[in-house]
Amino acid sequence: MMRFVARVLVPARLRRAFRSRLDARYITKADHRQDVRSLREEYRRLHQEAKDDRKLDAEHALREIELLRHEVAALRDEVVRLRDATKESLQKVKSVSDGAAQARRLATEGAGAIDHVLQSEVRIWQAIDTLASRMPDAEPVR
Amino acid sequence: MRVKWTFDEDVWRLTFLLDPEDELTGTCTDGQRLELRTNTCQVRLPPSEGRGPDVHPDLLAVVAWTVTAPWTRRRVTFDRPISPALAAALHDGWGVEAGPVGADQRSGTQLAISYSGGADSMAVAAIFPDAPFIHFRRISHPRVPNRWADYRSDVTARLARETGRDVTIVESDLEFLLKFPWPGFTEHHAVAAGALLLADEMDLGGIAMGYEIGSRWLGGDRYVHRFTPDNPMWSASGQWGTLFEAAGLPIVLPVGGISEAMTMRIALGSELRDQVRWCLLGPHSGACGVCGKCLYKELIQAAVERRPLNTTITATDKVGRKWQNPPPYGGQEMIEYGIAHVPGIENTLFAKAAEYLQASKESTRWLEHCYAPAIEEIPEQWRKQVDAFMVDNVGLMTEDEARRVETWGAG
Ligand SMILES: [Zn+2]
Repeated sequence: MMRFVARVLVPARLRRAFRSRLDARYITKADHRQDVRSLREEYRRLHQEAKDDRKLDAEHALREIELLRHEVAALRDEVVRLRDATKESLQKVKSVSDGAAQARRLATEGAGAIDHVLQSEVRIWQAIDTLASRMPDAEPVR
Repeated sequence: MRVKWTFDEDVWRLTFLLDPEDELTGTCTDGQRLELRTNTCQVRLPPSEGRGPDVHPDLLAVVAWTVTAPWTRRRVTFDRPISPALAAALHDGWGVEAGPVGADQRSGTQLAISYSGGADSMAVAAIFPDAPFIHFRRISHPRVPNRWADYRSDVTARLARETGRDVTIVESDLEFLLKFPWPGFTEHHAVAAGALLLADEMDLGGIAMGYEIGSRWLGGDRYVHRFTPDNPMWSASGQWGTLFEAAGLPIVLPVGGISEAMTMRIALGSELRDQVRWCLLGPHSGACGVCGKCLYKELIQAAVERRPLNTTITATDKVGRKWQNPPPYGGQEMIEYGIAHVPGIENTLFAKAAEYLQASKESTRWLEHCYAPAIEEIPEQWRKQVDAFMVDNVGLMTEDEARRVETWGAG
């Protein structure tokens, strides 16, 4: 999963606050100096606020990054675990199919061997009967 | 060859012993090279009260001969005397000395149908609506490991029962006698083992089979692709025809004069339509639609129904590839018929074959009619019924059309 972590580096609300105060007091020249001073203070305060905000954001981002790092590490572990498991099950599948192939081979060979035995039996009876028929006065074997 | 039968509780067991000159290799009447695996088999009849071993020896001898003929070289000795007619049929047909001789000739009166579930045997069933079915069901051999378990013999047996007809299911392991090429009948006639062993009990005087014009007259069964009036397997006067007749159970081919297009039309137009199956490999044990047989039957059915071909098979698929080569093809008369009658055939995998064969509705008209000599071959007691059915439902071939049969494969 991906998370949105980008932050705006110069807070928009700082710019907005500064500009609105400037606009509001621009007309009254008498208070101009006071304004400038208070504006300057305001600016400093806001600046500090922004700095704090940025620091907070950075801390957030860092925490976020730390979190992500943990998640990546966990994912990496998961990948390793799955890869190992897959390898293992592939090996299992291979050994099962090896077993099946061997069973098939044995079945085929076994059936072939039985065929051979059955045919031999037919031939042996044929030979016995041939011999028996050559013996004088012999009864048929069966 | 020496043959010995034993009977115990509805089961007939056969053992045969080879004479010195006999061999474990042989040839089926259709020309296929064969190799023997073992020398025992059984035929299991459905349970019946009080059935004994009193079956006419000629019937037992013919069953035995269907599994021993390929290996026998000079003589065959049965365990009970056969009729002189049967001995003569074995001598004239195969050149073997058969004996001992000493039984009267048998006869019967009823006709049974050797049922396979395909369109051809269903067409036979439509022609003889009262004839009972006898179905051969393969079972495992006690001495042979069964590596062919996917064979769905149970489905055909179930469908046979679903027809509502009088069905007798006979089980046998005799197909496992064969080591090569695969489990199957040593001779095609072994499928009649059940009918032969029940012939006395059911008073059978004929066994009807679904061989059509391609198998009987056009050389389709022996892959010779030419006119075969003297077909050794299925002509009435051939070696097997004579043998079965001698045993009082002549082979009857009610659809021997018509093409597979016509047997398909008859079967699909009959009340047995729902039980017709030419392939059991698909879901719910129906046709799979992707094997060579399904493709062939789909071509015929599309032709019969005059509709476009409905298949997912393409010219590059394994079963589609052979139709890209020039003829001859197996069942070529049906390919011609399909090409002539399936709309849009030039956009299918049969486009190449269509180009090669140049078949038209006119040139394949003969395949919509019945070849009259096939009716003449049918034993008299059933000939009239077949003749009437063919005249009413199919129509007989004209002389010109009959000439197409008789010159098949000559050019
Ligand atoms: Zn199929």
